[in-house]
Amino acid sequence: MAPAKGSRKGKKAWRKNINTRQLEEDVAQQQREEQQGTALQTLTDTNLFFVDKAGDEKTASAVSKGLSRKRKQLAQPLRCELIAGVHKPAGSVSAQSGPKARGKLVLPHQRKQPQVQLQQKHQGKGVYKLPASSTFDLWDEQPDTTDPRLDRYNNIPGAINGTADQPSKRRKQAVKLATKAVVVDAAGCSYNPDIEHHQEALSQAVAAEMQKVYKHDMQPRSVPRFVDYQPETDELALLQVDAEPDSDEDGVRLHTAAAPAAAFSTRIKQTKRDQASRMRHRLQEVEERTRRALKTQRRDIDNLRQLQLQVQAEEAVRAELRAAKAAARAEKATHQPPRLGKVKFEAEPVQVLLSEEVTGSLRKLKPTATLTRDRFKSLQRRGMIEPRVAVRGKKKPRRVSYTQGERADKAEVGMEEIRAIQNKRKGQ
Amino acid sequence: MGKKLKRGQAGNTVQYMTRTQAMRKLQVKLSVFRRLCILKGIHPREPKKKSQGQNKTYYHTKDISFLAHDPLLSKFRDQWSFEKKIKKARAKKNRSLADSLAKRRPTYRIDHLVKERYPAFVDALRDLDDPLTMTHLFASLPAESSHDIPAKVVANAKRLSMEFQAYVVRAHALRKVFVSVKGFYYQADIQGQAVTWLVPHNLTQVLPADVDYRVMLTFLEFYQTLLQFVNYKLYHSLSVHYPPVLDSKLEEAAAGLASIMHDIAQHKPHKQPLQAELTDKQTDTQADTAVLDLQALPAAVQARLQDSQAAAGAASREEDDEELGEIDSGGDDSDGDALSLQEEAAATAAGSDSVAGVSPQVEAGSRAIVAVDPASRQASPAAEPSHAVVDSIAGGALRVQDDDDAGICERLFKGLVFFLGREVPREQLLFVVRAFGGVVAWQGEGSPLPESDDSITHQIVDRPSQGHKFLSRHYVQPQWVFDSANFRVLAQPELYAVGVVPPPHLSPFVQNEEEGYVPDYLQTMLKLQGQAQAARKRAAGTMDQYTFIAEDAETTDQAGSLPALQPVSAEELYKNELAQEMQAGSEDEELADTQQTAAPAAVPDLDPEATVMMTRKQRGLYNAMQRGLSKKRQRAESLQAKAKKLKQPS
Repeated sequence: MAPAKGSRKGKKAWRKNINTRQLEEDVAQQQREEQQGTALQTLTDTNLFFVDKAGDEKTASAVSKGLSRKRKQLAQPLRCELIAGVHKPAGSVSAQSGPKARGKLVLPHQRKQPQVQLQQKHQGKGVYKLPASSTFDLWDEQPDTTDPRLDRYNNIPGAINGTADQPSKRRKQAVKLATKAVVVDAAGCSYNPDIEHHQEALSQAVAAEMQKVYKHDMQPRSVPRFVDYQPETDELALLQVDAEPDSDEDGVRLHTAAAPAAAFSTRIKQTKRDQASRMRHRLQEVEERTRRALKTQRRDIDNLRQLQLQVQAEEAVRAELRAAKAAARAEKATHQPPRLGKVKFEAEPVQVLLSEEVTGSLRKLKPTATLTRDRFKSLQRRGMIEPRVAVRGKKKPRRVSYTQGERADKAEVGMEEIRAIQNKRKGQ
Repeated sequence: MGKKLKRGQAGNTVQYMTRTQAMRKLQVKLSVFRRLCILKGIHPREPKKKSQGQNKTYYHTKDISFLAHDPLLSKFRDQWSFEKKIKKARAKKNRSLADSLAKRRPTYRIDHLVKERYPAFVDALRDLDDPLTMTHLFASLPAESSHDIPAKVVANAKRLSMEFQAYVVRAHALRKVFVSVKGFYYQADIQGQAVTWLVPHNLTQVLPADVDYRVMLTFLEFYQTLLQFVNYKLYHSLSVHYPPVLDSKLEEAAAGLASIMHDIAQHKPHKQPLQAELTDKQTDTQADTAVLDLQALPAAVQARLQDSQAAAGAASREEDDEELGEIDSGGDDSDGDALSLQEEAAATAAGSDSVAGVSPQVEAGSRAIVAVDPASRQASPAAEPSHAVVDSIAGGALRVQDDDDAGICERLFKGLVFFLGREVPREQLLFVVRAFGGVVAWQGEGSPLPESDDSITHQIVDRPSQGHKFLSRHYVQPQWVFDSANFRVLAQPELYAVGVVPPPHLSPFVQNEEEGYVPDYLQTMLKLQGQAQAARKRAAGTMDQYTFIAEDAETTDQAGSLPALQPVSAEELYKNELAQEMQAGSEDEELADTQQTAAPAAVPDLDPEATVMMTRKQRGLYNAMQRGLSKKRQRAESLQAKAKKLKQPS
């Protein structure tokens, strides 16, 4: 704020009227502070601040409660962690906190493994580097007597799929297929087979191949897009052109010309009277039908027993059919996997040597080289993956390399040829 | 009247959802959904009524909610968002950031899924067929960049398959081998579970374009984790540490299985320092050559080794001497592998779990059984000369109880030393021979024995002619090993000689009784089997002439009482049954013209009263069964008749 306006008499009159009150106050304040020791600028940090150790009891307790709850949550293992025994309760914080929880499960896998030390002892030059955690006993068969909550496989009952004796009810298990993972080839597929066995295997292979051929033959033929046709050589067309009209054909033509008129005339126009009589007839028919139905009903009531027998027989036939269908389905399931997707499963052909390939020597054997496909098909056969058509990867676009002046050179060569031909002609 | 039901409120409509619906619910893309399903073991289902259309893939709603609760889902989401970060950094040409982010990609583990899907170890063993086959297949695949098959995965598959094979060899668990066009089918008996798997032939596999390799790799990912745990468990069941230490030199020589076996065989702590000493000496003397085993060492080193053994203890030296006498007639060298294999067998025979600290007394005792073997072989020809040939059919399993299949398998090739030519599949033969208790050497680097060694009893050759032949050994084709192993007898080596077309390789997986048709060669093999059984019985009968220190009192009692209790051998019984069936068959042929429908009557044990008491349905089923049986029988008969006809003109 500017000083109050005073008199301006004389050149430097304003100097006389300077308000020094603020200044004086400030100085006084400073003096006071110095005397009291409250001059903040001059004080060090340690004098200014202090660590509040007392704190707000209310807030602190709430925070700690929340923390402990969180800690507890972290300390509580997930199911999967319990299964594998890999749970580590949250870090060092929980380790520091108070006495050990009495109810905590210590699974056998969480204990220290003596074998790990053994392995490290033998770690020399030739040892494969393994992840240390893979070399421990996953199935510690020693039943844990210390914790009654574990079953004899040291698992938490019901935590996993179920044990060998007691499958769990948690998840409906898929129907296990009877097919084995590794199906051993038939005796005829041996590298040096017995003749009869070999013939049998061969016949199977041939049958499978012929099935394919027959199936292909049975399929409807598609209409050809182009047909080799020349009107000049088509006999039928030529005959039609050359044929002269004779008298018989004229008659036929006349008859056909009259036919539409006849068709027109056959349609009889119904009168109202006709319609009424028709209605009457219809009503009568309905009445008669109900009467007949009543009559049969009365008769049926009389021979109810016979009817019952009839129904039973019918049901028996139906049950038989149903059983046959089920049996067929079961039979089909033995050699055909479930239909899991769009594409049907196709089995690999039988891998058998041809008769001329059987030499009896292991050295000269020509083995199957596509075992990866065999394994892949095995996975499909067991219903582990759905059969599908292989997706062809995107074709990489052809890389065209360009060299300076190449195109022109090529054109020049072409022109040379043309010129040579022209010259030749001129020479002739 | 009940409440009126609305459409789409219950039943299949609610229980099942299509794949697209499921993906929307989980908020993942198709590739992630597929991975998740495969890892969790959730497969599509076929509902009775396909409410959303016929051409769709359906999942059970509860399956999907099961997926939704797996932490893997959030892990996959994390990965996805992380990928976006990397992509962004790349797009901004911030290479350092992109690289550092790529290094910190979030990872996941699927251990808990293994436990979840296989609550008990037995469950995992039961389901081991597919993992093993897949792992063996990928072990033989090229790590191709066009199909994104990482080299790491292939290497891991190789390791896991080798480890498993090594276990099978070490536990002598192999039971059946069948060589088909596809590959080698093996069946092993692992803790009471029959595990079957397929190993492809040693030829490059073609990678067809219609196979989804990402799906296969996801399966493989789970299977490898499973197999890792299974291997761990199996190794520890033998008290062998896991993972096995590989012999780096053998591995360099591409000896595969042998390199792992080298480690597993010598798991006993008191043998390890010895072995270390051995390798030290080896490196001193022969630094440039890649000779690995004790067998191939020069005589001076062997002498030094024997000195060291003598220093180690008198007891152990005695053991070694005994073994030397057992293994080879020459007695000039002591095979390290053979030695350890013998120990294994001896340890298992003693009934101890071959714990690391087996006391030497027990071992010495158990070894006494092995020591008796040659003595008995010498003694038996003196009594009955014809028995010597018969005894040799039974192989090393002469002293085993007849009903002890595991024991027979363990010792069948015991005392036999095989040499593999370079043209035969080494890995497979090594596996089979060693699983059945034999010793193997091969042409090439890392072999424990040279080709000229005297101790070799069988040389496996697959070529039209063999130039130089040692008279002391049999030259056989690889099939001899497989057939012998399948029938648990040593087949006639003359039939498998060099350049000869061997007899047919029959599948051990076929149930011959059910099949009806018995090939000629099967009959001869069964005859041999019967002879071997008889030899075993005879050996068991003469057993009490010798003193066995470690043999259980129980088993000897059984051996003594067996011949008395069962005078009729299984072979005779089988012959009788066969004869009966043949009779029934001939009767059938005679009656066939007159009685077409008399099939059930031809069954000898048909009880007329039983059929009377049956309902019509049951009778129908029974008749159908009988008809099927008779058809099978007729087929077998016709085949046999055909075979007879073929034989007659020749």
